[in-house]
Amino acid sequence: MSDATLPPLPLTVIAGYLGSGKTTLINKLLADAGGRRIMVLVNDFGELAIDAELIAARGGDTISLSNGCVCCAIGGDLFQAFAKALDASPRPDHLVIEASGVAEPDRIANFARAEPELRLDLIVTLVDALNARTQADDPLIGRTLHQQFQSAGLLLITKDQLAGQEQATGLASWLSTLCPETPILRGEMDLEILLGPETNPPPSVDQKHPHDHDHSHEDMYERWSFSAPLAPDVEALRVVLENLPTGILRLKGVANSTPEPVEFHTAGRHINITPAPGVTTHGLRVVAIGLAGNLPTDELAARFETLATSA
Amino acid sequence: MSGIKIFNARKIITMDVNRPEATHVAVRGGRILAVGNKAEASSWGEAEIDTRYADQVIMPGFVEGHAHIVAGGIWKYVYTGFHDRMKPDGKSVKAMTTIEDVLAHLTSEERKLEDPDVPLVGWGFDPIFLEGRRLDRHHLDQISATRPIAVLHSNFHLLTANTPALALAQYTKGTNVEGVVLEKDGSPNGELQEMAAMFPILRRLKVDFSDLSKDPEGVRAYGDVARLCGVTTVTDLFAELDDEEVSQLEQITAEPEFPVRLVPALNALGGPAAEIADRALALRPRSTAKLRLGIVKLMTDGAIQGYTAQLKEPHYFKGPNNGIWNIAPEQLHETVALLHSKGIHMHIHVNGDRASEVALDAMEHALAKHPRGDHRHTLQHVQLADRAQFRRMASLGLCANLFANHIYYFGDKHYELTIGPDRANRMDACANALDLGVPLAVHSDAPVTPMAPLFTAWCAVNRQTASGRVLGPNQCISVAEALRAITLGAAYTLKMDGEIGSIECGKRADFAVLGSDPLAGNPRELKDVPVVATVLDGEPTA
Ligand SMILES: [Zn+2]
Ligand SMILES: [Zn+2]
Repeated sequence: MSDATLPPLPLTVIAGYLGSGKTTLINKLLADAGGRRIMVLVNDFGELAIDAELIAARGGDTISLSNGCVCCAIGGDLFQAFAKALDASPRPDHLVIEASGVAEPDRIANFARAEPELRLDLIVTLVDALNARTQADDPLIGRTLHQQFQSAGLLLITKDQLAGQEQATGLASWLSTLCPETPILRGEMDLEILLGPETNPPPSVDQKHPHDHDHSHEDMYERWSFSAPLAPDVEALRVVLENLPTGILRLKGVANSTPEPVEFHTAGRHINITPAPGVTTHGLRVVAIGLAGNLPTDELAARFETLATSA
Repeated sequence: MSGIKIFNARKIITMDVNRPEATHVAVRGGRILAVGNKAEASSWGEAEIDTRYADQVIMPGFVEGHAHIVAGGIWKYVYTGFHDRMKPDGKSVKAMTTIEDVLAHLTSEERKLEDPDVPLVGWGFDPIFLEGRRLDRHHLDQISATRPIAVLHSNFHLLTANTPALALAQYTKGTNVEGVVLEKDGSPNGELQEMAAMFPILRRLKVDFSDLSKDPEGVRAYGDVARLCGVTTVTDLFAELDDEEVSQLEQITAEPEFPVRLVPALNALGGPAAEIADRALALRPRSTAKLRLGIVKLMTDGAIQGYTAQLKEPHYFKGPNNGIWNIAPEQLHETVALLHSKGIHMHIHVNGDRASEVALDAMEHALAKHPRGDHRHTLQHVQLADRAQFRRMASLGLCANLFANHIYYFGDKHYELTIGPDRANRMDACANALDLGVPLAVHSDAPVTPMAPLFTAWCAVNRQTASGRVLGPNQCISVAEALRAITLGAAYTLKMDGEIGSIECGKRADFAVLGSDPLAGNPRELKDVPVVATVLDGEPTA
């Protein structure tokens, strides 16, 4: 049965029209879940390429993987899908829903916005570099595609290799005029971007250099972290999160604020601050990830230092 | 004993062109032997005469071609609607025409609950018919300030909850969630719009529509809902039909007391088309006399009243275009072609004219690829199709099951808000279908509107809205045509017209017994013709 005392289950919605590569992304997600127990709800198993060696059990509309992930087919009934995810025992670490090609992802995300045991983490909309422009003008489905772009926290352009540099760049700039606030990625999407950084940011050992950044995380991404002994007021934190500089794909942190400790996440333009009663460590800790060379580390350092000293 | 039984009646309306009227019908082994006068009906030999319907009028049992099984299970909750409605046990619930009526009824039901933690759930509430302040949590808090209460609106897209129910979902002042309606001071007023906002409450109150559909008592109640309005064959037009559900339906429909033939349609969007086709083909041979399996249901768009139907230019009259697809049009093409090529009989939900156009295109494409006669694919609702689309339906051999009840329940809203006068006047165009030779049925989509084929026929005949406006008099059809639509017409869309839908030799002896003659009465009173009983396979059902 469900357990209301657990932290809210984060939800990532993978949206995008037919052929935009949702299944490819899900296959990758299941293959390198890296210790996270992810429950993935898909439209059908047909296209899933789950490694036979990875399948631990198979029954009806559920496939359990040996890496702790579970994959379920949903027949379009979101009520059942969410009830199933929340009642799963043990509850997964992360819920991922593959929206149908014509789904308006906000209709799915709204469940997580309403349900206290869920937390909307991210809507990522996949955009097919070859076909999206034509589809977006189609009288039958154009409106749906635009809705998918508009509700996204992050946009991922897929098939960019096939389309070629010029077409992909053209699409990216067209998308950025449609959705100026939304970060746009191309080609691949790392698990840490899709689901957020796995662990809480470590406290800094050196108080004189409270922030730190490294490029070691493959070479595509850059990471920045920060910690401070005092936690800011939640409203001041919210103001900072709502006005972050561009270039941050993911940001995660904890703050032992008053009146209650909170955990916060940003995923592209989605922001989330949730109570985290279990947090006992002091102060403020933040980690941010962006594309290498694109992460505004100085800006971040300046804003969080100001925030920490105003605490 | 010959085993022959003869029912006599004041009049038998047969729907058989060879013998439109009779007074006696002989049955044996559940089948009709003879129809005519006393002498003709007695021609097969010694018979027992059953005179119980001697003063009544017998018609073929009605066929409800589009309804949902949850219309039975939903009676587990308290009905709070604006119209009189009969419970599955045959007791009628009086219409609640003011908020005070609704509250009084809920209060008396609340007082019957002993366990203080059991929630009180209402359904069928229809604010568009009520005057004064819209129902909110303060109204419901008067019933109980401690017991969670939720009242589902008749469209199932909204509910109103009291403060304890809102608290369960952690909806409090400061909640900023789409669909949670707020008071001036920012606290929720109790109204929740759309499933996402309703989910936290429904889940905590354990209201689950899928469970209601599969609850054995709900299935039996559905049989009774149908029986009480004269229906002897009823669809459940969107079912999951997993093995467990099918076995349960086999069991329940085999019970001698189960009063109807049940025709569930497999949800075709529940998996890849090829698997659905195999599933439907595997189910078909499991059919019995009272359980018909094998048809499938496809969904295209949403609903007009929710602004989610797919409309062509000039789109919605007043209000946003929120048209949705449940399946991408190009995927519909593939799915329809595949299901058609495998010989599956399809029923496709289409409300808006854009959706009906896409469905027509998909059918045309499928038929060009795999020509096949007598497929009986049926467009369901088809509310906004124009005459050109009906012409295409005729040439493609499609049937139309029109949502005639919509005219009464939502017609005013359509005229004033959603689609405007022009299209409201030609919606659910029964006359177009008949003029152009499209096989016609009409339906209730229960529980969206109440199941009652005579009421549905009345809507098709009079096209009168709740406020008394007549929508498009040129689309009115005659009583005889409407009666055909709720019997043979609907049976045709299910490929069952060879065995039910009319009273003639060789067919199943399924009858609706009426208190007066619908053909002789005032067409404006067609909905008031009483249903006295039904007969299934020659046996009175209750
Ligand atoms: Zn429908
Ligand atoms: Zn329906």
